[in-house]
Amino acid sequence: MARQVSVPSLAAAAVAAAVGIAFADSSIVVLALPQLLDELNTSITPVSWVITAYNLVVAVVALALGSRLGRASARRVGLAGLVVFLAASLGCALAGSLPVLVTLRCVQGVGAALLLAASLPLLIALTGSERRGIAVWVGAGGVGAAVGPALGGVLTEVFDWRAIFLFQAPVAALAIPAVAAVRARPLPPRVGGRRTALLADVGLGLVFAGLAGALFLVVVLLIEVWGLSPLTAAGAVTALPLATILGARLERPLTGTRAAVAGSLALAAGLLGLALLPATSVPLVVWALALCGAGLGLALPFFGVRSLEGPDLAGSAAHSIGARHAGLVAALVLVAPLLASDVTTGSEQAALGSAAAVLDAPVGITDKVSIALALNDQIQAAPKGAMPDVDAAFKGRSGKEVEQLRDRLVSTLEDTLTRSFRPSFALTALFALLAVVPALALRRRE
Amino acid sequence: MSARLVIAGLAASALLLLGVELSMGARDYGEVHLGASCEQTQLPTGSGLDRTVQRIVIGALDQASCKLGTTRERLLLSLSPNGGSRFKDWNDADEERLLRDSLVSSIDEAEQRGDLSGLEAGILRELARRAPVDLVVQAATHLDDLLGLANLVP
Repeated sequence: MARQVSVPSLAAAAVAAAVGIAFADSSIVVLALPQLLDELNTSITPVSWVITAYNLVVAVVALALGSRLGRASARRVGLAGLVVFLAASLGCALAGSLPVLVTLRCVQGVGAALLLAASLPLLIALTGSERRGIAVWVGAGGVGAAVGPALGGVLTEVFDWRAIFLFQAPVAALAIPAVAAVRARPLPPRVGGRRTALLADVGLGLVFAGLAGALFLVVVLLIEVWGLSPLTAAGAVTALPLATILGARLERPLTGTRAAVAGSLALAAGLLGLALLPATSVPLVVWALALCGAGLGLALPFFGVRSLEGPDLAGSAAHSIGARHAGLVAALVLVAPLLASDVTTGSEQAALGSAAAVLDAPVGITDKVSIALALNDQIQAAPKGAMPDVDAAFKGRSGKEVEQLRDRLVSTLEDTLTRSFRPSFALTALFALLAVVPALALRRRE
Repeated sequence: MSARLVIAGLAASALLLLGVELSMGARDYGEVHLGASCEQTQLPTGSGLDRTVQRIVIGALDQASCKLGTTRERLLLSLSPNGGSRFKDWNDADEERLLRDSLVSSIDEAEQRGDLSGLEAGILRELARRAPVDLVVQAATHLDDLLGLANLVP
């Protein structure tokens, strides 16, 4: 085990911040997607690659690194990761087209995978203890993953989507001297634990697949359907990281398998709460996200620590990172077509509900026909799953009855589109629920 | 804080959330309830040209959708030139002919109710039989202008 007790804790904090940012990058761009859509003149499916590409590359590179990392110098790998991550972040901030941005996100993913895999031995060296190093690494990863959408949302609203990447550069830059000063020796081989680590990796993958619902689906719902600003949406999704921190504190009295089972069930319950939303209610979303966050805070330390129990700590860390990002990517790959299909049906139902509202409304025939045709055009023009521009269909029309019809149409469209997210949330809840299985399997081994 | 308290708190929060959502109508939330095909609908009441036209148009939609075995909403949206075909859930029927026949029938009923004079009904019947559907829709969107012109006539 590497020993570097004299290195200041500030250096450990700088590395932990870089680890947190690299994990946050999985979802940090999600609240900026509408702005990216507009500015880069693209559509939803291509722009979603800004998120998928990063997670996919981190998963592939981390899993490929695996045990090879044990023989390499953690300092060199960490420095290489930070430099690549920093350069790619600056490049992303300057990207002028979607292909360039997606390519640079892939490069950023390579840097993140190197940094994350090397950061565990570095943190162990900086904190002077394997137990503390692992605790900081797991904690930074959990909070980083949960804080992504909120952080990205605030930066997008206050500045611009480019600010998300500019913000990451100094965080990575500050970690460079900290890593350069560390003399982390290769971690010694340990006995056994490969099967434990594998089961924990499965648990991590399932928890992160469930988390995709709380990280991505919620944001798409709040921004595209409910029309919230990135800042308001960021405020709502802040419940997730706050509850994750609280959940990690709750983990202490629970400990072990009970924490993992309770955490997975709480995450599943929160996602089920999102699936069963009965109104466009931000407080209910916050409540459900708080449950998700508490569940994540409980389950992540258990799975995270056990995923490092392989014979080669650095290799186990790489597999642990790969499992998390593979879980996210798998969920995105499975949820995307399901959501696309459901919102297509939802849009059709919304159009029919709107037609019924228009036919029954106490407004003149001229308004009825014009509004019905204009609304159909807006529904056709809106991106799949996004709220159509109802106001455009009512342009130049006024009166109490017309206003009432407008409100009724907005409500019909929001309710129908919100319901179309139900199967996708339910699927992510199922992933979280399945995480109970590896937790119980690990209990039998303990 | 004891382990039991943590588990009880989480379980209570989860059950309360799901209970609140179900009590707020989560089960049926967001579902669109349309009237069944051939279901009697309430036609707009009141006098004046606008209400009369509405009764004729909605009555015709009701009759045509009943004959096609669909809903009036689906039939209405299928008429849109912008992606209307995706709303067609009926087989190869000549919906334009059915709609024209239903419109003529609805004009007949309006005449019987005394909404229209014999002359007005005759002109409208000819329009319903011969005018291109696009022209009828365009005319409906500019009915205000037509009514305005009519008011200018002494």
